[in-house]
Amino acid sequence: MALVFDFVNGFHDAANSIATVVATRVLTPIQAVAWAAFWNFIAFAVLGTEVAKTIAKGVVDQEIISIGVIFAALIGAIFWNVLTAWLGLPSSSSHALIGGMVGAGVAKSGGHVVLLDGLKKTSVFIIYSPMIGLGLGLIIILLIMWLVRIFKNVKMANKVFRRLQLVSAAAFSLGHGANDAQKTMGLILALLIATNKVGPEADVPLWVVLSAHFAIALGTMFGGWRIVKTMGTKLTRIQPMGGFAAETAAALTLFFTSAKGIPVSTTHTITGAIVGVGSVNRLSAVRWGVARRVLWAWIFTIPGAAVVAAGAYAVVAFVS
Amino acid sequence: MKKWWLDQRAVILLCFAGFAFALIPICPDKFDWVGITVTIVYVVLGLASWFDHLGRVRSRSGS
Repeated sequence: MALVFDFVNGFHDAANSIATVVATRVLTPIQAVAWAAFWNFIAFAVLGTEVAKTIAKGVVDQEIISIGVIFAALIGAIFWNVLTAWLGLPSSSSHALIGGMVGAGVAKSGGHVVLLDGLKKTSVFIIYSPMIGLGLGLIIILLIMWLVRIFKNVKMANKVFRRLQLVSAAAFSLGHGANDAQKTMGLILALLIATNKVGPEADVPLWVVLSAHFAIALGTMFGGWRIVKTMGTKLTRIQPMGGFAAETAAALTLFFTSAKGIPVSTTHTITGAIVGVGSVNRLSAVRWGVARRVLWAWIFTIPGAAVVAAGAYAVVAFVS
Repeated sequence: MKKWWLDQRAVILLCFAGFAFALIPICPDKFDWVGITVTIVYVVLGLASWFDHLGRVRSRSGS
């Protein structure tokens, strides 16, 4: 079930990294998803497993984790994702997963099982990660515009940045693979610890790492080409330079958060970066309605998924 | 009526700076510096945006 969650994540989020590459016709949709999937998979070798450890050991007390808790957490996260997709709220599956774990844990053993440090870290970065993406996006596009003004060759610059988007899309896919696949690894690791298959101090087993990255890459391969029209065109119209700046800004944010073990929403991060790039010329270029919906998703996702997961745990406990 | 000196982008960036600053006390100690850096960057971006706006208004009224 955790791997299915990962597959759906890849399916759903693939377009975030390849929309601009496809929109500017650097790659065909099929080539672009293959490119993104490859970097999603490779991420396991580059950015470690700190996020997985935060999910497995840093959200709720390890002692209370059981198959029922993980099952209820996943039900909470999946239900919340489906509900928000239906309502048109761009919610984060990562936040839903953490909300699910908190809800199921509290339903099992009470509020004291929540590890406040881990929850605080995640909650604060729900807001900081898009803000970092936005700030970096704005700074990078300003630097690019300054360079283009010096060299006075916009046509040449667009040509160069069309190609450079291949690098930025790869970097973003790497960050996406690292941060998102690790959430699933974290769940599986928690489950392995709970069932005494590995010790509490154990690292993430290699088969878990590989299967999580494989699932997200497979999801990207299957889903990406259908969902190419995404954030890049929904939020603000973007040129090759802008696409490069947004993807690079988001990738840098994801590299940092992954290295520090902070689970963040890759969708919200790229959304922030796109808003930052779009706002460089005029604020009216940004579709603030979408940005406002992201804000509502921030507020409701963790508590909403927690309530659903708590309900799911109550059902699991009643049945078993 | 829209005030000539008012730059919407600067206002938003400075609001973000305030927001980032307000979150610093909730940040785990290890990540205090992230909140402080984000705040400073947004203050700088907000001020730069405001000066840019004032420069544009002046050059428009001068021409």
